[in-house]
Amino acid sequence: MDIVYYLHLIPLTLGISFIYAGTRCEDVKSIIRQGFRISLSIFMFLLVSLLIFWACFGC
Amino acid sequence: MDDNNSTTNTTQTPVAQQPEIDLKNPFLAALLSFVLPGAGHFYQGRIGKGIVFCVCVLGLFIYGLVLSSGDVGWGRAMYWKWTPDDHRFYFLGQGCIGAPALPALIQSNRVKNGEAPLLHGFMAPPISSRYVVNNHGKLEYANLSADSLAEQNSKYNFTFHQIRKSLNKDFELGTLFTTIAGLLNLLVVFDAAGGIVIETEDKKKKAADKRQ
Repeated sequence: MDIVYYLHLIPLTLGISFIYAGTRCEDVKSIIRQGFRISLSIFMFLLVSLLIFWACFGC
Repeated sequence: MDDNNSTTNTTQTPVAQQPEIDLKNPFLAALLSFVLPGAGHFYQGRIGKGIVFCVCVLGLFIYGLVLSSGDVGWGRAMYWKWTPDDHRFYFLGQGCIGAPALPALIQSNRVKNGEAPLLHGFMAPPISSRYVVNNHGKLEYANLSADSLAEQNSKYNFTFHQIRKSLNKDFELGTLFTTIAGLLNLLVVFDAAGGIVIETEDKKKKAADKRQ
């Protein structure tokens, strides 16, 4: 199924988030914490977008 | 008065106290980071951060290579080719990964000279269906069909359309992952050269004023 391809967003988002967090913190623990926080925000945004699309177009 | 003084003093200080970072030679650190993600941080003694960057950037890059591997060879989404029929602009981003992109240049040179690509076509560029290697080892215009051309060349010499058809969406995903990994390495280079981004109260206030 095509929907499986969307799972590739997980490593992509994690990678981008961790590197972005790395440019803002020096401590590794902070990088990991912030990286997960940013990833979670992006995933939530994607989930809400998906729900809105589903509600509007039913797909 | 005292209140005003105290606010002006706080505007100059960072929000969170960040540790002092010895960037050593920033240009050398940036160069090392460009060659290998995280190497500049290792040079500066920022080992933990170097490991995080190395794992994240190379992880994304290797993930992209694995996605674009299959019957047509390994890591086929990562290649360098600049011919009239194929301008690989993606390599400008992919190449920013540094040393890991070197095999693409080596393979490109081999295929251009009519030699068979090494290592299961690892990062080898696709051959053009409009060009063929002649008896003198040079490329010449042939206009052969893709199948006959692939037969007369090495096992891992495929045209772009053959690779794209075989890998399907994984080719696009592999291209996306390797390109983003290369571009993220630029952030790593800037971090090695300039240190972390520190938000001051001044900047925060300006951003808040802008929003209002």
